[in-house]
Amino acid sequence: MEYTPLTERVRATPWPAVVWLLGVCLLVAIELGRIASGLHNIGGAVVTAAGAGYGGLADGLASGGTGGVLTAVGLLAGLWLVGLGVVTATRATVVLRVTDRIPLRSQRLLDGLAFGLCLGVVVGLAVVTGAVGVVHALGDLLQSGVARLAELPTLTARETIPNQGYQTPDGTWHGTFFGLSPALAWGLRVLLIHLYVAAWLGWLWSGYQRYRRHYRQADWTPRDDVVSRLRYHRWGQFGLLIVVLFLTMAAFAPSLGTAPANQNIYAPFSNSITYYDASLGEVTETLVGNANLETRSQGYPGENVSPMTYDRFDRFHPFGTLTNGKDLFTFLVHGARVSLLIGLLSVGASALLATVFALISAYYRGVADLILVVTGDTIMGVPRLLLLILLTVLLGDTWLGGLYNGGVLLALVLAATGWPFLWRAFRGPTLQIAEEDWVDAARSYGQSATGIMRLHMLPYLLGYLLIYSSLVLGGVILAVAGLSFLGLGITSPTPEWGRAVDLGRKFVATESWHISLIPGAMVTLVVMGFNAVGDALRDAVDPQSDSSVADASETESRGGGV
Amino acid sequence: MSDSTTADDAGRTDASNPLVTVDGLRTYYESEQLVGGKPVKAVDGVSFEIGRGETFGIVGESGCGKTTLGRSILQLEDVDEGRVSFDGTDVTTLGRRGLKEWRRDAQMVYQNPMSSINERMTVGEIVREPLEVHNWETAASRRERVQELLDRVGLRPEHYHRYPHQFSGGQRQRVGIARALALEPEFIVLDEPVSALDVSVQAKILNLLSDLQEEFGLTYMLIAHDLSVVRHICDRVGVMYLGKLMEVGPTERLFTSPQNPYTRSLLSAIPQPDPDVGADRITLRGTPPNPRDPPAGCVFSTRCPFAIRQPEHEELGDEQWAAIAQFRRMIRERASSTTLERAKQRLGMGTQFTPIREVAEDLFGSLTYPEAVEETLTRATELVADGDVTEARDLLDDEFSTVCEHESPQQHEVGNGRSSRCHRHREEYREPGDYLRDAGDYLPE
Ligand code: SF4
Repeated sequence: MEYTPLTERVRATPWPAVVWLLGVCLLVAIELGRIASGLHNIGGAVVTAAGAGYGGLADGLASGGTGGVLTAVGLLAGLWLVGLGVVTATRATVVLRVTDRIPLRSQRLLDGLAFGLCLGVVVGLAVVTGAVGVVHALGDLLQSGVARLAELPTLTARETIPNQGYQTPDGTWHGTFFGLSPALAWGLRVLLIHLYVAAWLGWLWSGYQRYRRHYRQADWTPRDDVVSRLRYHRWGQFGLLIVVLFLTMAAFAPSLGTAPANQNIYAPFSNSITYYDASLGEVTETLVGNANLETRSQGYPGENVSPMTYDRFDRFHPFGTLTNGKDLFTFLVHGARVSLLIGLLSVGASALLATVFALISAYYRGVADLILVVTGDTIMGVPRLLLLILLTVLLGDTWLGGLYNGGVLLALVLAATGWPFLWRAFRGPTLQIAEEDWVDAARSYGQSATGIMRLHMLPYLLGYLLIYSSLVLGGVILAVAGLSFLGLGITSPTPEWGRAVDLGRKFVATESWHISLIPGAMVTLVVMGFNAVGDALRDAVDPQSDSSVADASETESRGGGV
Repeated sequence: MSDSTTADDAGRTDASNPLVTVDGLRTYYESEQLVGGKPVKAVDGVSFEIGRGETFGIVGESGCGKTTLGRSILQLEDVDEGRVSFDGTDVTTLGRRGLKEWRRDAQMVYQNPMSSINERMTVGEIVREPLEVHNWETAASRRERVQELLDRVGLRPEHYHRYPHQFSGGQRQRVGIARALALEPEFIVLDEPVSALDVSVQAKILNLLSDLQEEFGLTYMLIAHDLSVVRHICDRVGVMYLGKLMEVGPTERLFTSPQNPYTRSLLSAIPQPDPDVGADRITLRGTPPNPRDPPAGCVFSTRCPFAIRQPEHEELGDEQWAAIAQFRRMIRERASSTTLERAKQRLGMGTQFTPIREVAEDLFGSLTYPEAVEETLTRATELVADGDVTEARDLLDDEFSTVCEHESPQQHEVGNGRSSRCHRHREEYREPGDYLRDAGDYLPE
């Protein structure tokens, strides 16, 4: 059995792949509008962030003084990292040949710097000469194309199955999907969304099975064992279910909510709804803000909208309303987005830092390791809450603090204070891996340091990475909620679960118990779900690793122990 | 590599133009302690040559530095001093790029096939990696080469996509060998290539290595502690002890008439009912000294049954001499124990040393010594009993120490392309072999 590239293997037996790809196309097609608008939003966010970042850099450099120096150093470090990445990815020989002439031990550093500087100069020139304008124009073109696609109707969109309407005295509903009650229409939409997600998951699984059966050349890989162990891990599957529900919530927030976020949460006084006013005996229009004022949950029967009830404007509230009359469910699904975004961003950043640092300290040992140990321990030594508050307040007024209502800043601060915990968990195993003979063997045939780290060390770390990341993600979600509960972090009106808990705190023992309890229970459940997934991954990836249990719980509790 | 019958044939290798020349190589490991630790002299001034197409063996007890020697030659350790010439170029001074180029020519096969290959890669990827690192031609030709190599080392083509998990030790070692061969090297360091394998597999792997050497004209450096493997395979052998090369010579001659006292002891330490092997009854006393703190003169002096004595002690019987050596060893140990240990001992927290008088009684009780010696021993015992351990040590050193204990022996040519590191090859002393015959007790033949 000779080795053949995947494309050839597919060509030999095309049908399973074709059928699978057709299925994917179908699944994409029915939600193309949503996917396009998601891309559009992400693109827009990136452009905004890049613009803000560039502005911040330019200001920093122009301001001179310590700020300028710090910015310059940061810029250089960033360029170096990027350069290092380029060197590793391309294995370009031109620059290597030049830097090889320099009789220094740390030529790697120079390579990175050389490449980074080249890149920096090119980008700088582009900015100066206005070549950036071309990029801009291209980007705009792309954006408008995507924006057009984003207008396509989708299966699960609010517009396809509308649930906002009013009931006339004869009992008929107007404006809803086929005259169904808003609760039913909304329930139908929620069901459809979850079916869609389930279809995707099932199809992906089938794709994996097809690949294994028809195209994979190895008859067994270490991952097979992991998968088969996961198949019998009930606790992990429960966790996975919750995580999937949470992810669905975040991904489909706009159409899961009973009302559009903009209408109900962000700009209630710029939007209006129609309802049947019994006293006037006719269909009238009112500002959402005014309506909200009359549907507040304040803890006594006269002023409370409980879960699974309609308010007097014929709006359905699956989780009741908040103290200010906004829909709790809509608030929560959008809050899930915020939590997830911050969680992914901060865990991604800290996992990246922790992995790179763990690889560096294990491969180079000595001084590099010592520096990292001292840095990490120093960060861990300071109470994390103090650091968080300090950094959020200090940086709150900069351009960083403006991104995503402080969400990006919060994520970065969490990452900056959180990586040592992950790094500590990785360092031990990485040190062990670096001792293995295959690492030495790779050195003996001339593999580069980065090559060794990537090919011979990172794959063994990946399991730990997944495990600890999922554990820490739960912790971060908890931390963000905790900070909002304290009135820090994400600012109003951006929905955040912790703030809902805070708002309803006074009413826990009253009619309006739902405001605190539902989001509180959800935070608990989601954190539990991520931890269960982490546990399952650990059991699956590394069945013998009972010793790391103590370690994990420590990281977990400390990760969330804000 | 050739069978033992032709191994003696030194003319096989081109001695005037060696492939590898090692000259005064030193590799020290820094101590783990932050302050006050001495470095471990893993390789301490080793010189030898390896001819083209030759199999050069390195034997020694574990911890003698033989693996470090192999790794130092391949520049996998930071060498502190000395040169390693490969085909005329000194590889210790190569830059990064030069070193990477040179690594194509010099490869290594590791001892433990369980840890020497990365289990997250398929066999194909493992063998292909060196080719990728060195940008070997095209992707297709790399794959072809891997298939060729797998076939050559006795693996099947479908193994390309297998993961090493499913492989036996022998198969894994074949993968390791294929990987080492991938870049068409000239020189391979075999670090105990079969010691981790089943006996039944060992012979197969050794035969494979032998065939490969013939086919590709490889030069091997075989590191082993199994003397029978070395004898079976190597053209020449170096015997290492505590970082020093004690004796070098053609295999058969070295095995049949060892020159160096350590080689004799080592050969007699293995139960080998071979009439050729001399000195069956020499036993190695004690354990090797801590490499962090090696003896001052000859590294073997603390255990050497041939150690040179001062003339007035020549007539002491071997048993008597051994008892004195043992006594001095113990006192040295006590003298070098740290202040902390001694303090602990006073407080009854440390491991208790046996009272010195009991030790002396044990060692010397059944023996009789000439008066002068007797007196020195008694005085030393009293000194230790009074707590003056260092003074006792100095006294004993004055009385008994010899050239073996304070002067490191040179490498002496002992004929037939052999060299041995021992003072006894000097004019003024008797050769180890002669000495042995006279001593009577050890008489092997
Ligand atoms: S020098 Fe002395 S101690 Fe060393 S091997 Fe020769 S006789 Fe033995």
